[in-house]
Amino acid sequence: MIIADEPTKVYSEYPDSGMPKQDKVIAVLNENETSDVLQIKHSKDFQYYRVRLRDGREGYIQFGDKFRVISKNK
Amino acid sequence: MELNYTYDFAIKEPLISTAITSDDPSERLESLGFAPIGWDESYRIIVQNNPVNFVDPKGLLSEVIVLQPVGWGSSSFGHIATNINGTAYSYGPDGMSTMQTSDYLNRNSFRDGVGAELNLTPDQEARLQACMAGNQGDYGKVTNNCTSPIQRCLKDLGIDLGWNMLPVSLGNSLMDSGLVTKYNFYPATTPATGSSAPWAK
Repeated sequence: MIIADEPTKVYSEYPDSGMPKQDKVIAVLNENETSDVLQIKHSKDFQYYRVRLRDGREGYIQFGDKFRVISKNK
Repeated sequence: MELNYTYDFAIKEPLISTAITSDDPSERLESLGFAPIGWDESYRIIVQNNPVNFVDPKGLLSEVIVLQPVGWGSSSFGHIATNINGTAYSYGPDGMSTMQTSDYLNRNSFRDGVGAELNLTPDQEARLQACMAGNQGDYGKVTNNCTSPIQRCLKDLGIDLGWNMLPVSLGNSLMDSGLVTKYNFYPATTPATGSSAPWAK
């Protein structure tokens, strides 16, 4: 599980390389909002966490944004 | 000399940070597979007779950064980025991307990296930057990958490193070239988690 320390963008997908595109933002985690981590993925450049949102949608947040991993998922 | 990755990062406890903490640069260099020839008092690696000759009077910086392999995809063989005066150039399947080097390194602090500063004149650095910012053609995993632009651009400057397909082999060629004045270490602050390919070691 992760907790957002600052508003954190959730992307529908991440690119093979370079930074994620802003038109792929599907949600923003608010400060202190938590989300389950489903998987960790790597592009050529960066690391992403596949997360499940409260409404059931899934997306990706990028390592380096302001969030912390606070516990392992069950 | 040979650069090998021997990390076991893929099987580390994923929630515990185990950054490299050694203050000994030769130890850190060796941990990344490099074999330093020697060091002066400011930890500038001694690769030729007089490290003073490598001082860049303009304070410009050209640095090739070799990043640790991770995951199963295109970065499972590692990655190369080039830092020119604070701008990171990174070539991949979606083309050349640029961003502030500090941000790029921060977003790569899930894996270890080592930067090799190059002994270039200000004119060479300007030409290198222009070349890296130019058209790099279509990406190809073998024929035109992350290692290609910097090799092409150095070759345009008259610096021929041969052809290195993998980041680690390019790192080794740079080490052997006598072009490197200093190594900078970028240890992972939060080591990579998730699974990685067996060859990503």
